[in-house]
Amino acid sequence: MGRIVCNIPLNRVEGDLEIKVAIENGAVADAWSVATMFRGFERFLVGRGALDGLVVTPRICGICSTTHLAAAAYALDDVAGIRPPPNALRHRNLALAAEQVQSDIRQSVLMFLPDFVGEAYRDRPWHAEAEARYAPFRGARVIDVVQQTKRMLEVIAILGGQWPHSSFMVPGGVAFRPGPTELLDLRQVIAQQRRWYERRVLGCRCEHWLELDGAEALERWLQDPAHRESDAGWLIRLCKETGLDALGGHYDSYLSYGSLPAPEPPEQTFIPAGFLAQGAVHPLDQRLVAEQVPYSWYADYAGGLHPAEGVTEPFASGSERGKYSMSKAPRYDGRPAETGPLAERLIAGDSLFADLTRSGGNVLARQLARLVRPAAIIPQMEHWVEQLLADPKGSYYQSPGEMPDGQGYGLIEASRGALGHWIRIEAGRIAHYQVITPTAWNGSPRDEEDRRGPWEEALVGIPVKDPENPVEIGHIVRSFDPCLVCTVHRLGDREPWLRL
Amino acid sequence: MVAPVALICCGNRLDPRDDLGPRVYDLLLRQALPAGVELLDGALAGLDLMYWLEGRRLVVLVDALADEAGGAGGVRLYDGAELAAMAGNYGHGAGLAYLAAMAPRVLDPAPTIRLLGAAPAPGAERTLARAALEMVHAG
Repeated sequence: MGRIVCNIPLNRVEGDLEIKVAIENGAVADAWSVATMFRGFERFLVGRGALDGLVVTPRICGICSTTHLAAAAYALDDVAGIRPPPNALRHRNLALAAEQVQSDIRQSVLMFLPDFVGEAYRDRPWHAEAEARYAPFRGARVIDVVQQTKRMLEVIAILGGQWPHSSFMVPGGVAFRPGPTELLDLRQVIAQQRRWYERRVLGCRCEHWLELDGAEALERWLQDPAHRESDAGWLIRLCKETGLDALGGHYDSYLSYGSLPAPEPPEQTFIPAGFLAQGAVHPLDQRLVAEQVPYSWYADYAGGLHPAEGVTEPFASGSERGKYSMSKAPRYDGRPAETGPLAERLIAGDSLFADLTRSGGNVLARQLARLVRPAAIIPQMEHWVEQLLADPKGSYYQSPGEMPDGQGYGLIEASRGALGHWIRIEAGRIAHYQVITPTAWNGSPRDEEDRRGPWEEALVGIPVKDPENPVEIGHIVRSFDPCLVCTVHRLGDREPWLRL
Repeated sequence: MVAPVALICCGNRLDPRDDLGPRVYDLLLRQALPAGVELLDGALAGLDLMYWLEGRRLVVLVDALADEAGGAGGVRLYDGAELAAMAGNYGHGAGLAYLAAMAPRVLDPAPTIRLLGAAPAPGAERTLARAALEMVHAG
């Protein structure tokens, strides 16, 4: 059988992403992830006021704008050398958690699960029921999720005093102090979201889920009809039925910047930071982050550059050879790494997900980690609200004084994984700003050693039953939850390629 | 109790190709609106605007249109069904069309939805603001 080259634009990602694969003998022989748009945020932030990142960067993405706001605020905290008061950290954490919970549920039910409703699965015995649940626009679960997840916004609206694009996080804390009425409203919204999530999405109490310690425990859990009929139960069963519990692995290197800082010392994060490679977790050292551009449409430089020294100089003359993406290639200690909910669970030492990835990363583990992340976050949100209610006189802000010149960074786990902002301020103005998004990590092009990015590598070797409808590729890339608007920003020409 | 009519201006005020909605918002913010009308900055939100649609009788969305859709400086009106017909499957970029498609399925009662748009052009925000005001006055 000959070599077939398919270009596959994936819709339903933020901005367009094109996956190019070469298929030989019914399997993917090679893959290229093509980001087709140029982002300009880092360039137009230069020269603006020191605090402008708080207003500009939330507009990088309509889905994770609160996370960009937090990264910008963390970077300014770092420049000012200030740690916000505990209540400010709780306040920030609550808004971040709300955005993440909403995104996790929507991505799973509105984007990932509808892929099982397509023609490729029409002859499966579960297809009709899957269609009734997850068909776009009309599936019962789709409608329920749209109905219910809009409530989570109230958390951000209450805490931010404005929505969308709230800019309530400022260096030193937050600009709004919620009173008892607002906090009681928060408590009610979170309690309602927990009840719904447990009943319909997870199928059990959050605490029950968190007790599952391995694949055998998960199998036992799945025997309960209430669990099987939840979205989590459907996700597990559909992935197993279609072999997605054994597809989609790559280098088995994982990165988490850590997120949701503990309000009180010791300075830990609720989601731990670290780098996992060859089975060992290493402490995170942001100095080991660098971006390379040998295959990216940017002016070449030797080696990788740390984002504090990073350069964003687009270069696409048409005569350069080999370059194929507007995304740079971020590397940690020179190595590609997956980031996102699965990386978070593995770096945290979660025995269930360690068990599910014993033979390598896979679609089931990656997507399940996303869908069940709220099981850990929602109870923590309740805890933070109770702490705020118990401390009505606590401070929400510590003035950093006039913002000094200097450089700093803000690292956080966005819904899709590691997000970093690096800033340098000179004479009261932004002299340098770099953003590395989760999708830049997961969807990176090749690097100087010709190593593919994580999802490029995840595609190589997978069987493709029908090159005209390569659903396997869609499942794998979708499980990373690509969000290309964060990675790149200019629409390229569309071609009549296969569309997943 | 929410106002029965919402006027939601959408777009990215940092992008000149997409800042028409925010400029209309800035103009209307300085004007007296009829009783029962709430003016909102919808910014880049798509499906998340569903929260602001709940309990309304009429929702008027204001947004920039691509040149070919907006004509030469004119105002284009879409009703909810026309807007919904443009919706693709949900994605991170799901916008006002997906919102219009889902609103009748998830809200009871669902509001009447209208979208007023124009292509970016000098003075387009004043034309669009006048059209929006006429629409909410007519109720």
